[in-house]
Amino acid sequence: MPSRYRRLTELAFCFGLWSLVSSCAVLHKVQLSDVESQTIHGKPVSIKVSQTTIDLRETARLAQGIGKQAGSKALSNAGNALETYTMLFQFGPRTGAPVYNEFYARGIPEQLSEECKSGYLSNITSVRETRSYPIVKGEIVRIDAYCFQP
Amino acid sequence: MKFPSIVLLVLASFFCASCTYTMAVSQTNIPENRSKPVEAVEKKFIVLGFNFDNDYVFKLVDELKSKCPQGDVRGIMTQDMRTLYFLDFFWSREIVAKGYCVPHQSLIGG
Repeated sequence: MPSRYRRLTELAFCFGLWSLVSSCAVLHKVQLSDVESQTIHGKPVSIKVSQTTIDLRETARLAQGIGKQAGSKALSNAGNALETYTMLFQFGPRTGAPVYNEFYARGIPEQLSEECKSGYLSNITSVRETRSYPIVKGEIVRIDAYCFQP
Repeated sequence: MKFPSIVLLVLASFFCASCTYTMAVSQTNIPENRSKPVEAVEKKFIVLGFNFDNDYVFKLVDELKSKCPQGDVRGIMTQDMRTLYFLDFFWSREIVAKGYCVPHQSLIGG
């Protein structure tokens, strides 16, 4: 096997191992509502919405690094091109990685209402987090609350 | 008077080492009765970014409820902070929730 392909195989193995061990939960923001202690009639409710996305910046960095290590100019150039693209189209402040559907969290009030039809919701904890794998990211909004029935 | 370098270094470390970030702050409606403040804090120490869940934040509600068992906690200010320690290898996430314990008032409408 030529040394270049062996190098690529080693890098692919390292990437696979890294993918398996490095799934991390990144916390962005937490917000609490008012809290009621009358939980006798309260039913815990939890809603989670998410969007799976590709982190193009990380992909670009990875392609640049692997291209450099493996001596592949084409891969390095692809990484550079991707980095330029992200610099042009994904600038500015952000929370987590950009997603392809910005409406994924809009239905949360309706979902919460569906879970608590004849009562009201309190003790709400809203969490914005990311489940982070190499390149692939799961952008998550989770709401935990208590449904109080009259 | 000439300060020794070590004193200057210590002073510089106090003034220059700002390593705490406030990630987010939120505030709910503040009640008129603010005689009994309550506070809950959840902290997680993270090494090399290995953090497999954020479930610790959901303990805040139970902690606040335990501090105000007969009433409601209103006017909650949630502060979400990150403190960096050494070379970004170690850091902690700290969520502080402060509010006021008030007598229970049902939100159920007629």
